[in-house]
Amino acid sequence: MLPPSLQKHDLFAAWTFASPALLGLLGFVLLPFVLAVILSFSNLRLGSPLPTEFMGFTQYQRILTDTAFLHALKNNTVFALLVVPLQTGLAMLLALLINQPLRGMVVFRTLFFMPVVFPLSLVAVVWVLLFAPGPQGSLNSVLELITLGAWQPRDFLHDTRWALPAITLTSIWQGVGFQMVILLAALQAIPLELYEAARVDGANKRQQLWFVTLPQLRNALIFVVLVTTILAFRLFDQVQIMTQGGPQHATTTVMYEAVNAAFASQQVAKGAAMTVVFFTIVLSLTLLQRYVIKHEKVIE
Amino acid sequence: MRHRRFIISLLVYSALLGMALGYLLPVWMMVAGSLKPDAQVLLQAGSLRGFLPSEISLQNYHDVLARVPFGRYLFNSAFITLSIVLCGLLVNSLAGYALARLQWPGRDKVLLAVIALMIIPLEAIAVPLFYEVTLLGWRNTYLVQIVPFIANAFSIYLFYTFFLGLPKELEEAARIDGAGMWRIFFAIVVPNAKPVFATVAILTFLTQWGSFLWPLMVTHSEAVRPLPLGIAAFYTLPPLQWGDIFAFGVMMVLPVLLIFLVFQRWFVRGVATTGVKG
Amino acid sequence: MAKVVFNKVSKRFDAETIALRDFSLSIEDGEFMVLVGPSGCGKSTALRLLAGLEAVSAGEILIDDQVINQTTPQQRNIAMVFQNYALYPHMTVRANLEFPLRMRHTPAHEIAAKVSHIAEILDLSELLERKPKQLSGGQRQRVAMGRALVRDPSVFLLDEPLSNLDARLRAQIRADIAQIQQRLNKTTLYVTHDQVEAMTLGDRVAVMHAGELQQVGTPEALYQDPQNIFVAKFIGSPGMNIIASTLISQGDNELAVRIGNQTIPLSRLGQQTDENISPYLNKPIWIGVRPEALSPMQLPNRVGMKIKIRATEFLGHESLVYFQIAQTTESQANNVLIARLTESLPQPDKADATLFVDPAAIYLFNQTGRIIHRAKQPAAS
Repeated sequence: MLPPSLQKHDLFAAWTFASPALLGLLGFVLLPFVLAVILSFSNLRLGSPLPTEFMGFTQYQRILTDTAFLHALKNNTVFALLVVPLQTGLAMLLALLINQPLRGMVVFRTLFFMPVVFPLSLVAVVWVLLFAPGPQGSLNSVLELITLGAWQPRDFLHDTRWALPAITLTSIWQGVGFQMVILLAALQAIPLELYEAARVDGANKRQQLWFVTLPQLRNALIFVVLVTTILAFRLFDQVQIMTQGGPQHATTTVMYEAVNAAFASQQVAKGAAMTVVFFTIVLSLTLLQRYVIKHEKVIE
Repeated sequence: MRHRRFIISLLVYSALLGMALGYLLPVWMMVAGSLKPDAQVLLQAGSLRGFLPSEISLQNYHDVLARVPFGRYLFNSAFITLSIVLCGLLVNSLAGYALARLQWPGRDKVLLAVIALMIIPLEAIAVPLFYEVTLLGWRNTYLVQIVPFIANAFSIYLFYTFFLGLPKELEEAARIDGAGMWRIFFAIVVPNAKPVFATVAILTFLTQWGSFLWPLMVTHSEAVRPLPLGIAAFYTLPPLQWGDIFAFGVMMVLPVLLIFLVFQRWFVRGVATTGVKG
Repeated sequence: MAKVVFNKVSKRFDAETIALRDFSLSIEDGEFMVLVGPSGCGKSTALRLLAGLEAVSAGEILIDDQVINQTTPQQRNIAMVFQNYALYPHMTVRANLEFPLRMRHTPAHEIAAKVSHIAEILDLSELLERKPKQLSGGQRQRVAMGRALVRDPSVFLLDEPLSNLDARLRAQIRADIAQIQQRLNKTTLYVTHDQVEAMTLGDRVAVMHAGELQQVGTPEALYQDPQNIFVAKFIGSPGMNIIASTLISQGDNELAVRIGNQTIPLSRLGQQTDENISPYLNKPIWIGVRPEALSPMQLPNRVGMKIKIRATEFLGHESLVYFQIAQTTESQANNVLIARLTESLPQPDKADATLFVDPAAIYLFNQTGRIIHRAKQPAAS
């Protein structure tokens, strides 16, 4: 609590400082979102001669029985469950390798970070070619080479079982560098004395990793997992460019369905309902994660 | 002992090298493909020759420059992205500071709201936003591609977390020395907040440079469209001219890559500082 | 020049945390006042309230008879040296020193003059173009002080300025601070947890504990005349030995204290003091004996106390003997006391020994810790 004169002063300063950003968020994020929520209770359909009416939860009922949407929910979950551990694990591995006191590590750091710099749409385009079907497809031929001919060429992007993994691979490729850099910095921040103490206490390399490295990385790991999870649910660009949700909804995502409904089929209200569902899911996840983490932080 | 260390370093190097090679395959493919005539790109995609062009030609680059006003696209992307970044740094840092350091009624609720807003992706609000900007008459301008993105919940949150971690003493000393709020912020806090400014600048730049959906929706003339839309021009009519697409891709990424290579250390330090603080 | 008054000031941070309770203190113009106490005693809170960095929950703070509760730090003409110096890291030493003057819109030539003057006083003239990270701890300290002094404040605040320095440097800078304060004669409030600093620097010292003022007075007064057990134990290196005992009377109106199985006679204490003491007859009380008052020599006027020695530290000019009172109960036996002896013990290797003390040097405290009877001061030698 501040004395009254300070309070007034702070209040004025606070509003001056915060208002441009808050107004921007209000007008360009909150307002449209509220509009979307309102729309989700209607049956707005662009280009339709029928008048818009209030429909209550009908839209929600519709989408929750829509096979495409249900597939999308499933896909998002599977995708998140695949991407988060795989990408984090790979980033962790790379960070551990690059953290060695060897020369030229900066070069490797740069190399692995580079794909992050590429716009997602470009990445998608390139990987479309890599996933090209038939024995001429790059990935197919590489796999054939590695497995010494045992590999059957597949059309990844049009195969219901391989399409989502293919997109997962693309996302991981693009995202690992980012996580790696964060984990690397956290690794380098661990004081050497901890390792020395562990060695004196008799810990071998593996035990040092488990008892010193990982606990010290906790904060960085949490941050990385949180951000990756949120981004995993926003999956859109790759789907749009590489598979357009197919084949047979194998790669459709909530966002993709939402945008499609709103733009492609002009069913604005339906699209709005989907985004509201999406938002609710991700918000709950985030709150859950924050709750779990806060809980642990107190003990610390 | 030295023996063992040598073997370990050998293993580490080979592991990294192996992964790096596999990792950069797509990049190499893009570069190589951009230097080959179109027909070969697809044909050779599967073979080793896909990665080693037998005839190097800049034909694709000529094609791109001929078909598409690349220079204009480049300028648009640069102008739009830089505007968003610079205005964003100012606006979001002030808000982050107000949340972290100033006391005012409703502050905690606003903070929660900011965190909640971080989740909303552009796609979720694209349609209502589209109507909003149409009402404002901003269609097909630079304005419509810049203004809605200046205020950013994630940037505010990064600034907020960082400012919370700054030791209060500098600001207290400045208050005792007689400095007012604005001066404290610009003369004392900002110069000591370089890592977070770098991080936010870089993250914003990366996100906005590749922005695709929104410009697609709200613009229709080449005069204001950014680079990612240019690539779409090649992507419509089959047969896909992969060579051209790759050439475009290389040219699109090159400026960002160069900036990245030059500012690398800032980049990495910036990204890492916020992540480590968590 | 300024006189500072804290008038029943309280500070509460939330429902459970009361940092400062009914704190009243006046600091005279030009006086060097030290606030001392263990961590959490409220001394830093009091300082920050005076600086205006926190708001008062109750009570008033006055500078020169003006209530300043509602003013901002910028408006109060005070200066502060922070524990971690809080030097602006991105500015040179010169810019750091100039900053407060620029904030007050001092004309440029005056700024230059004042800065070089202060730099000279504090021996910073050669360091003016450096940045803080290029300075040693002691140099940064001086810059912090320079920044505080450059604009001639009415009140000078220091928040544990020596705690980040190594021991050697601390003594040196302690002397410098004392010198500067005397020379400039500024009203100063100095906060520390180190009672040695307090005793050597302060004109007066205020001892604090758990948010409350325990006692304020000159260093001599605090040493010789502690008002309660906390002050008695806190002041002095080491502090006073406090021993649980029962007050009894031994025939002939002679008073004595029983400690365990030992009885230590106190000499007749005079009519006046009897009134203070008689309510406590046959009740448990605490007695206090300074480590310096104990001796292994049996001189006239001294009474003996059997002890068991636990450890001895030889320091050259004196020894510290760690002991427990012999023939006491289990709980008493755990109380380790200290004696400072300039003469050596007759049988240094034996654990059993006797220490002697002049009963006039014994302090009596009641069960709540308040002083009942202070020791007579030794006659001037």
